[in-house]
Amino acid sequence: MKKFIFFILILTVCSCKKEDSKTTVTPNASSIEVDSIIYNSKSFEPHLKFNSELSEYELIKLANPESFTDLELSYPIHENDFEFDKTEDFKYYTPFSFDFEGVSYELIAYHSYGENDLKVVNIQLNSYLEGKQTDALLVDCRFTFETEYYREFTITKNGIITIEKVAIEGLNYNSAGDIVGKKTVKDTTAETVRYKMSAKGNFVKI
Amino acid sequence: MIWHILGAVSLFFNTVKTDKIVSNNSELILTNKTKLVSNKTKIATSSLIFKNKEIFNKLPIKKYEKLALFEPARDTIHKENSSNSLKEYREITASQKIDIITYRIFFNGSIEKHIPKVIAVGNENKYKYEYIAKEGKTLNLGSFKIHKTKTFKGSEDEYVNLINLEIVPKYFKQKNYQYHFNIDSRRSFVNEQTLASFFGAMLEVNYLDISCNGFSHKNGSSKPSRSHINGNNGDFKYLRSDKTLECGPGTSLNISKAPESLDYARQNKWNDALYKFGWKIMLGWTYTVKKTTKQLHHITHKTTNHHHHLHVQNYEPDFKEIKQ
Repeated sequence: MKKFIFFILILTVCSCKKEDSKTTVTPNASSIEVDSIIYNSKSFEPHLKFNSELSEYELIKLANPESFTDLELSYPIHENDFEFDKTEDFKYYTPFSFDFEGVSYELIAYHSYGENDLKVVNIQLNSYLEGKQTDALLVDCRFTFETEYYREFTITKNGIITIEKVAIEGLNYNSAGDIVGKKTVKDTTAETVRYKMSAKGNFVKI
Repeated sequence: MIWHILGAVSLFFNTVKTDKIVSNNSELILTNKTKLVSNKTKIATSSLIFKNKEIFNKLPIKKYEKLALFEPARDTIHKENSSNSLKEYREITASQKIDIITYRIFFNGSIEKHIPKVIAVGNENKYKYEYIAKEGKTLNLGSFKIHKTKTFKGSEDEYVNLINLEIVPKYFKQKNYQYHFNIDSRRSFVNEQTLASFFGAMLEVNYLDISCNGFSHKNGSSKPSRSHINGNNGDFKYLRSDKTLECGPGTSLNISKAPESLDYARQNKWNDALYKFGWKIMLGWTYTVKKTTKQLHHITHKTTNHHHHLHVQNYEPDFKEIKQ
């Protein structure tokens, strides 16, 4: 009898644990051939340094910082989900640029302020026709504000941009929203969006 | 127009210690280097502050000039002895006829919601807030529109009344009781109870540089955060030694980088006041003075990502609902 109760107890504990470690991950965007990639998150990795004490990313090994113009500060951006505004407090860097079907593209990296002035790293793809900006797309936005947010992006030679938005939940909350502890196993969710670079230099969601 | 000008100017509020005494209780006073601006108790909302940078640039105030609000020394506040007991105040206020749902915030940290039998036409969607001071004085803090909102992550028939901090006067002063705050976030909604606690805490400390970094969105959510739902939990900037009240991106005091700018004595009193009026758990950062690392009141440990703000939660006020 004692053995049976012990078995039931173990079974109950295991069931609870399983529920707590529930992980929802959408399938990874792709099995993209490496030689078809123009630029991706992995290419940018050497420019990111994580400060574990402050839980913030720093931009490193980037040259020629430039100040945003007023027009650049207010330029609308696709996929700016959290509506963090650019600020003149931070300069931007241009680690990569390329041409595609007659349109020029520049990848820019910069910090912005998020909630409570936490430091956010943004990577933005700008398109230009005859020197004039035609569109902007936020391909990465990474920060931790209770939840850890980041994006994995890939720009491929067929003109497709794939952005996988990842959110990692490491805290437990009660019904009032109070933080009540850390998860033993973090929950990860992801959402993928795709854009096509058009001949007019616009980013068209597909 | 004066609202706009004040909104722009209050972006750059600096509280400067001075021997001068404010002669008019409800005025904004500038230092001797500056001009006088007055608008009784109406101070522009934070959204106006955000939107009026351009107007500020056009103001005839030079860069070195500072706006100042005068904060009475702590010792001069609440000095009067109370002649009546709290029980007597409760009885007096309870017998008063009201025609609007009224929150009474008592100096001792307790909060009462009084619901009249009959609510006057026009008051159906408004709540009034009163502060009952130690001397028995009742301070009218205003009546505010409530937004009945489906409780975020609640059951199907569960609702919460949210109030936008943007519509709450940012400055208040009556004799020795005063506050001045801004809301520096899009998450600008508190709920009907937490607004009472916020008022109570502000009138406990009488500070003029409270900057709220957000509670909830209009629908009760708090994205990108998950802990600020339904107006329960809030974030506040750490208080600065120079008592400046700033607003806008990058204005939070980072006590990891600049611990010397933290006014830890005032911060501790503010934490105590927030605790007294309901928020029983706080998350924050440590500060180091003369190579000694200390913790602020009610903060038991250093929490990642809280070097730029104080987080208050576990809202459990001393609350009573009274139906007339």
